[in-house]
Amino acid sequence: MSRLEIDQERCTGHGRCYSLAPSLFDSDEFGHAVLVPTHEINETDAWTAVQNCPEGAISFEP
Amino acid sequence: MGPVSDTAEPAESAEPIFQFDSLLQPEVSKCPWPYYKRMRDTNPVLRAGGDGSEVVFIAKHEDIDYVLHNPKLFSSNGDQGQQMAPLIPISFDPPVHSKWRRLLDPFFSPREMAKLEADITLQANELIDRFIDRGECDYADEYAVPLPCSVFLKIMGLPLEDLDAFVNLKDRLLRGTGESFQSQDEVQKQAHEELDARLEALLNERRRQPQDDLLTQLLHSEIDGRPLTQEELVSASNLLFIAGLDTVTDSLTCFYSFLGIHQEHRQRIVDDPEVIPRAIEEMLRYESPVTMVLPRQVTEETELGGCPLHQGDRIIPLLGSANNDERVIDDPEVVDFDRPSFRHYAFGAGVHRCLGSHLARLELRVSLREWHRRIPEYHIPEGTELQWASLLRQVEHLPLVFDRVE
Ligand code: HEM
Ligand code: SF4
Repeated sequence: MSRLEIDQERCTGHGRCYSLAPSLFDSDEFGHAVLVPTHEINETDAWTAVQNCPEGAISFEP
Repeated sequence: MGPVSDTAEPAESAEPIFQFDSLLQPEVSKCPWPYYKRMRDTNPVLRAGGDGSEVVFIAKHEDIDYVLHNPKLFSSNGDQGQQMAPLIPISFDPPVHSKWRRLLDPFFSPREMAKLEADITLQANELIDRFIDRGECDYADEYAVPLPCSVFLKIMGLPLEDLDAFVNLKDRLLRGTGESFQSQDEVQKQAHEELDARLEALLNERRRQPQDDLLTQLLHSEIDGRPLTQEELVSASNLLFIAGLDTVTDSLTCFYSFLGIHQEHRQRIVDDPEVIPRAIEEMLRYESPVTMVLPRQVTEETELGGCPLHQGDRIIPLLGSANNDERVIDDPEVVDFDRPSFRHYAFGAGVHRCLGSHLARLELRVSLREWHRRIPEYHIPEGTELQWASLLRQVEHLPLVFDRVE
């Protein structure tokens, strides 16, 4: 079972994740990231988000 | 390469290469990359202006990352050497800063900003209408300056007739006489007072007659369970004005001076408009129009990259250097719209991450889309010497000639 997580302490709302991988991430009213409930985590999208988050707030274990 | 060139080598200069005033040199602003690189390689933590100075430039991605993510050690609070009132939220540290961001973030969230897309599209097209038939324009004066200003007037609920007056006020406020950035000059001080007075008058007006705009919403917001004071309201709106106008103009003029020379990149945007969001990120990374953040004040004795830092030192992270640091990014000097990933700091990082980044990205995206739809082919006329403003990298006049319009 793969695991995708957002560290809310680190997230400051750059929005790279939900712009680049909208199937996995959405924005809350503050512009911070929330996970989109999904059964299938697209691995490429997950890694793209991890690698583009300027705060290193996203972790992914395939 | 024609006479328009942005890759000039910096003149061989005596050490130290990066003095406090180096950032004020137009040629550094025009072509900062070699300076950044030399600094990263030779003086990544540089006490500018000799030993006595408390100003320290930092150039490596790693060090900048550390500073921006440690507000306890590197504070935005305190005397920034600018004789002006602290601005909300930029001159505060957590936890006070966090309260302000919780209040302000929702007004600038991607979802809120998306509501402005139709308006910005309209404004962009109205500007283009004014010069498209002429076959040329001054991109700075006729597009890059008025567009963000008119978007801002819209957000603040100000009449568009005020555009020229506001552009003028903004110029005086940000650049003053343009001679010093250590302290504000008289022109800037006066401009500040004028802006405060205008904002106060406007707030009073909104208090009497609420509108559907940001100021009215701020008037009805609460912090710590109480309404904002007039002073706080003025401070927050003041910063939005300072932070939200020139920065977008800078970015647009940086982008178009790049695209006006690099025809293959321009053509890529025309052929494949879907690339625009990625093109924006990559050009923001490479150009880093906002070269630095507010100086961070060192709160206790510490060190960075082996260099001792003292309490009270003012640290200036050079964002453009971090974004072009070959230690963390392959071929930084190549502008590649298909670059798979990069954590650039063009909007800063950590708790002060640009509040307006979603607005800025929207303005840039709409701008590039509408412009290239209507004016797919353009270039900078031969022999043009571009004048670069410093600190906020901006081309002051950018003549563009249209080779094909739709
Ligand atoms: C491409 C355009 C822009 C760039 C490159 C940019 C860049 C930045 C940077 C680097 C910072 C961090 C400053 C620091 O850490 O000391 C910042 C903060 C800020 N920006 Fe922007 N900005 C842009 C557009 C805007 C716009 C359109 C607004 C208007 C709403 C805005 C409002 C702010 C505010 C209020 C802050 C302070 C945030 C805080 O301290 O928490 N910016 N910006
Ligand atoms: S990219 Fe990172 S910091 Fe930005 S919204 Fe996503 S998780 Fe948060």
